[in-house]
Amino acid sequence: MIRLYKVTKEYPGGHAAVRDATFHVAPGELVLLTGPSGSGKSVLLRMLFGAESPTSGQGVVNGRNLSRLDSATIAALRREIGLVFQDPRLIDRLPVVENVALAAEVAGESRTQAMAHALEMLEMFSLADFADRLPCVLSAGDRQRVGLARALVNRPVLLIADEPTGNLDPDATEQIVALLKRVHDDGTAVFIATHDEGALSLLDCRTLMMCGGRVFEEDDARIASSL
Amino acid sequence: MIKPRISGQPASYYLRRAVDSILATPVIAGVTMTSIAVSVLLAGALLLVGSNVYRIIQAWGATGVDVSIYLERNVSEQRVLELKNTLSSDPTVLSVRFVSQDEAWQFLADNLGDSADLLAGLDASILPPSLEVSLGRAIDDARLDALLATWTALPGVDDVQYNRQWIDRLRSAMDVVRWVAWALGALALIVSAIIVAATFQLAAFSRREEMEVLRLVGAVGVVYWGPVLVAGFIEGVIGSAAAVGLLVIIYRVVAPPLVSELPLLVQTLDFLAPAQCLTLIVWGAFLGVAGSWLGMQRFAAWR
Repeated sequence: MIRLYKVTKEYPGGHAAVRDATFHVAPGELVLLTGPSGSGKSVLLRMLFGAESPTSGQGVVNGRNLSRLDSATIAALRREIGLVFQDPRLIDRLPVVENVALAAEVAGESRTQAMAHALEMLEMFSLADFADRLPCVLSAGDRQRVGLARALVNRPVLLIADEPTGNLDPDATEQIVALLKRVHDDGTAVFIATHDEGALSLLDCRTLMMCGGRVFEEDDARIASSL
Repeated sequence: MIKPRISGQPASYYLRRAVDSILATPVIAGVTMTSIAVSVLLAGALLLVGSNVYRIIQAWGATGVDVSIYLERNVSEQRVLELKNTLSSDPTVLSVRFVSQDEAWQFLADNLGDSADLLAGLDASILPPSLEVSLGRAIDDARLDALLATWTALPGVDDVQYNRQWIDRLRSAMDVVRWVAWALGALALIVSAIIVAATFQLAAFSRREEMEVLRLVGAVGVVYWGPVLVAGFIEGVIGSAAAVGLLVIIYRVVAPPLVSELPLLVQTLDFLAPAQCLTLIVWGAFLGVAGSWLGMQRFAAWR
């Protein structure tokens, strides 16, 4: 699903945000990427959905080569995967259901189909009562759940989440983590970048650690730190 | 029924999203439409004033070119008749009138008024008889010069004079009107382009979050920028239609008193032709689409 080999992202001036990142995420796998702020997690994630391109190395996400993405293939990749961010990035002027339906409509569904799928997703996430409300009246946790519903409305093969619980209180964090686990249980590969201790404690899965732009398997990192 | 689809989306998608975005940001949309309306009103007012001024000047020139053909003093009546027939046969000649020496003398005396005693001791024989020729207005310089040369060479003709100075002034005035109209038009275009560009930048800024969300959910190409251009088109049409409506109202208020107060200067005023009104609306729609497209350029570098 995700396969990176020595992927590096270097900015003008020589600063490398990501260095020789090498790992893979299998279809249906749940993987955590953790590490301190500034370690390069967000840049790595941005490369995974085409917002940044690697300076060197090879990366493939859902069969698409990250070094050869033009605007059309970036858009196609984003219709195949789901994205969740710390800020759910909802359109405040559109009701909740239309925010969710927008992703389905952009993916080619008719308006009627998109609205029907959006309502299904909202029901699945216990958000049906909020369908006609504007996002600005919802709590941070509910907004994040709407963002998650939008990311999943097209039944993506991979969900990428960047600090999905960063703005949430412990209860909301617990709810979001439960939803992410459910998404994984339904067969979707989930790749979550977070340094939220609350979320980390709730997820028992394969973990990658990032430090100074480098990616380590958690076990390797533990071994390295104990030496 | 088959619904037309553009880049995989039904046409209603673009229209709905465009209308939604206009309704969602009424202040920004209002400012945008106002800027287009001001631009179109400026262009329409220039077109209206310019076309009427040009027409008035042309109407003054429609009195035609008057040519005086002075004849030899001893010209026979038979020759005068032949000359009249020759001149009248030319299609550009509207009328030919013979002015005898006595009529010319009377005309001069009448025009001198209180100074008529200057003519004491003189008689009508000092003035030549003449043929007063009126030409149609649609005659160009080359044709006029050719006619004058032909008439000067006719037997019995002594001299030919015409109101060239008046015509030259008229042509100069028309040139000035034309250049002033172009200059003001260019100025209006630049000013309106600046205003419209600035307001559309504002509109684009207000849409940035929505544009970012669209990118993140995989919108691309027409699906991404189509609704914004459609919104610009709608704003352009509404703004320019409002401007044309306002122009009609202004015209109806201003034109009647102008005609009644200045009857010698202005006989009639005309509003813009339907095709010109349509052109203004198309211009407004173009401004809307072009402004939206320019505003969208701020998102062009986004991935």
